Amino acid sequence: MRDLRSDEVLLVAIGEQDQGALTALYQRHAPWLTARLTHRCGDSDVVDQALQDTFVAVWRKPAAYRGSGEVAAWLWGIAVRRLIDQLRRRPALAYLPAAEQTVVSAEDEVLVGLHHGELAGTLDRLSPELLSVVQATVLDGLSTREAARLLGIPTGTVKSRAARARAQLREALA
Amino acid sequence: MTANPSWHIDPELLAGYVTGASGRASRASVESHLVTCASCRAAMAPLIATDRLDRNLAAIADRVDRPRLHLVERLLERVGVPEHVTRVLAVTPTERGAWLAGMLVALLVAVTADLFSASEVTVFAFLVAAPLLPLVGVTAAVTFRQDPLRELVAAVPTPVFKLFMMRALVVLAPTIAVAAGASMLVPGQGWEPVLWLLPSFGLIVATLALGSWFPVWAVAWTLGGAWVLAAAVWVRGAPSADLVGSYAAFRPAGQLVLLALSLLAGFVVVVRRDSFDLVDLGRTS
Repeated sequence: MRDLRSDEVLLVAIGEQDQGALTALYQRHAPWLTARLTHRCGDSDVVDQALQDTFVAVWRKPAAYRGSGEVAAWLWGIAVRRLIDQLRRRPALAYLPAAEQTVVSAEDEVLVGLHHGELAGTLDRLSPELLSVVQATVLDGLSTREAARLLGIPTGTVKSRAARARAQLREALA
Repeated sequence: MTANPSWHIDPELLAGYVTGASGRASRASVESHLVTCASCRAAMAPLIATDRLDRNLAAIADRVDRPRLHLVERLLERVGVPEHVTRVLAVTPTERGAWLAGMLVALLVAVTADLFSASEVTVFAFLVAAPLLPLVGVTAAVTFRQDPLRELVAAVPTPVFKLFMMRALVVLAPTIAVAAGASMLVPGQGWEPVLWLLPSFGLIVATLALGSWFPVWAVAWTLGGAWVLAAAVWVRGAPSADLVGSYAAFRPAGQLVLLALSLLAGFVVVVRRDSFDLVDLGRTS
């Protein structure tokens, strides 16, 4: 049975200790969160743990959602930070600079080309160091300090790499 | 509010995103679209293994049902104590609440007795009785009697000694903090309100040391009884105005002896750490 309440209404219900609302929110958001987290860390145990932590955090503090913006974006903000917590506890695992080993098929190249034109190739040409900074700050919305802690580099380095990445992208797209 | 974009991710691209086959740029654009599009998010649900999602949901429900950790345990977790350790500490013996309350009452008696210049007999009785409370607390904590975790702990290869010490510390730390606080509340009283700390420490360590040979509860009762009896016998006939000063254990020399005995007992505990066994510890006497 599908719950027709909006995400915002579900959060209010969670604030009133409604476990059904938590389940509904989970069913709506867990699949894409799982997929997105998997792109940040290849270890499925770590991803599962981060996902669980995310919804437990939502259960405890649904009021942390300020009522503006997408609930999905807010959830991702929690999830990526829970993932960072997990990774910090297991230093052997790294935050993936957008998984590298996968071979991109010709089909995908075409699709990518259709949707994104030159940007696709340009992003792919960034070095892994620059790419991980772009991913952490631009795509995952982490602050400079959080990105620095995550990647194990000084904040100044995060800033300079971000600037270099921007310059390279600008040049390539000009 | 969720906007309703007119463009949607086509199924192939979505599948490529989930399997990791798509390139970086398309991945980035899929991700930024997903945040704003509920229907594409829903389209992704069938692409993730259902049993994995169910398993995680069950784990979440389990954690949500579980009562939240106490403040102390949350603090422990915050400073980096691993979760399995805080869990062991969190599941506390039923006696803990009782001894904490008892201890607070005892300290309250000490502080107010001094404030209202209560008789020396009251203060002395307090000083003799106070060490027994932490003793009961520690004994209860390390014997795991009526402990829901006991079966589990018995089956886990964690060194019993380590567990034992952790629990004793968890009981002792608040005791010392409260005692120190109480002595500061009554600045004029000097050391009198905390004179019971060393006897208490001595009783606990001695109990643990002898507990490596005999059942801990029997040792605790015996030593506790001996402590009270010794106090009663020692001050018999002493002027009631100076009861505290007449008992050797509360005089500087006596406190030093207690400290030495505590250290000796602590040494015995460490040397005999391997002989602590849950089965024996759990025996009532």
